[in-house]
Amino acid sequence: MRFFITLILCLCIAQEALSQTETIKTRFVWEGGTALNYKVTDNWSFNTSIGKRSVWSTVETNSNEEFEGELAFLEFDHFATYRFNPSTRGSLGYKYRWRDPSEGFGEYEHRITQQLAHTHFKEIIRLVSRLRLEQRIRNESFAMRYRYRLSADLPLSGETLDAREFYLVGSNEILFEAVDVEEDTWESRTSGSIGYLFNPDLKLEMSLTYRLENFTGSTEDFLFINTGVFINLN
Amino acid sequence: MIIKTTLLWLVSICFSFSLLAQGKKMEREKRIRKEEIPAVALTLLNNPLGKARKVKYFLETDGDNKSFEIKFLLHRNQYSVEFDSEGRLEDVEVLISFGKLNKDIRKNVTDHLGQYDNFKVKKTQKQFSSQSQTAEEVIKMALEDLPAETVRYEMIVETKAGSTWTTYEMLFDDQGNFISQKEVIGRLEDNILY
Repeated sequence: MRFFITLILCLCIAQEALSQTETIKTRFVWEGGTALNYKVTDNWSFNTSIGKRSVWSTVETNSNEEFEGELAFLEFDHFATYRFNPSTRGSLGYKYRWRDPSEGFGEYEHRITQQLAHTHFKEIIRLVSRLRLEQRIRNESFAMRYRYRLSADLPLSGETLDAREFYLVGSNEILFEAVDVEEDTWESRTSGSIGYLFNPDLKLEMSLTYRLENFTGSTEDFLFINTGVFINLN
Repeated sequence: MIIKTTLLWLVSICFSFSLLAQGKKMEREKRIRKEEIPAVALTLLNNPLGKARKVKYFLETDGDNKSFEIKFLLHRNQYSVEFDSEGRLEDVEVLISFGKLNKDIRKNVTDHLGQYDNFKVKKTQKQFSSQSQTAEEVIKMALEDLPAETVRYEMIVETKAGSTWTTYEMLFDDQGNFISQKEVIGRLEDNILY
């Protein structure tokens, strides 16, 4: 009898302990950025941007449910791009990402990027192939990332993209990541965007990106909302 | 922290929108409905449009100037017919292959382009127009590829001078002699490159 009472008490305590556990459900991830583009010479141009990622989740406890946002990182990017011909661009880039800003300045990430992009027009659709190599350096790891992205964009009104017009962008990117302290992973990113060109120097874009991480292993998927402002300073 | 960064980002957007105040003269092409095209223009093209495919109607504005354009596919040829704001015919263009132009015309064009270190002809259109012939006659000549009073060639050409590539819309006469050019500004690509 004493055994059963003890067992029931233990189960009640365990139940209570379980019910106190927080359940965090990620609702969406928002990435926002502002980019400045400026020509340095006829063939060289620079692109500088700042961006952030925030993760919005619901935190459930036994008594209530709260909707919370957490800043995952702030970042700064700079690219130098050389135009080889009207269709081909080569770029070198550097990114500094301040991870978990709420934890202080301890978590950092540097990325060095080399990329080659080729543009091809099929009537009004512009297709861009982008091959990108990245060296990602974090506090605790080093990764080589190999990325290929195929994008297409088109104006929604007429055959040229003019001021005060909307445009659509669709893309898919395959990413292979070789990290020194973890297993290699494959990732797929599929994105659809709608943009608005206010004038030749300013556009606003909003997109949804579906990320399928480690799709050859224990797959995880995420939905990102991206917003971007693109300013041309020429 | 998250509220501050969100606010900072919104401020940067507001700053960007202030750039809208910069006034620039803008060319604009907009797809429109058939009903918005002047009736006189539609009447002129009544016959070919009945057999055409992929018919599209556009309004072009450049400052105070306004024109209409009708594009269609007929007998595997891509036509583009331009009218002024009153519906009067300006010209008829048909997309052709540069390689299929008469040898002498090609030679004159390539001689002119020979001043550049390199070039690529990306698009060629044969342009039919006339001051004395009627609009119906010009349209008939364009559709049947007969010699109209004025025939010109409009080409999109990528040229390389030194290490710099520039894209031009060039106009040549019926013999391939250069008439004029204007630079073509391509679609911004920062959103698709990075």
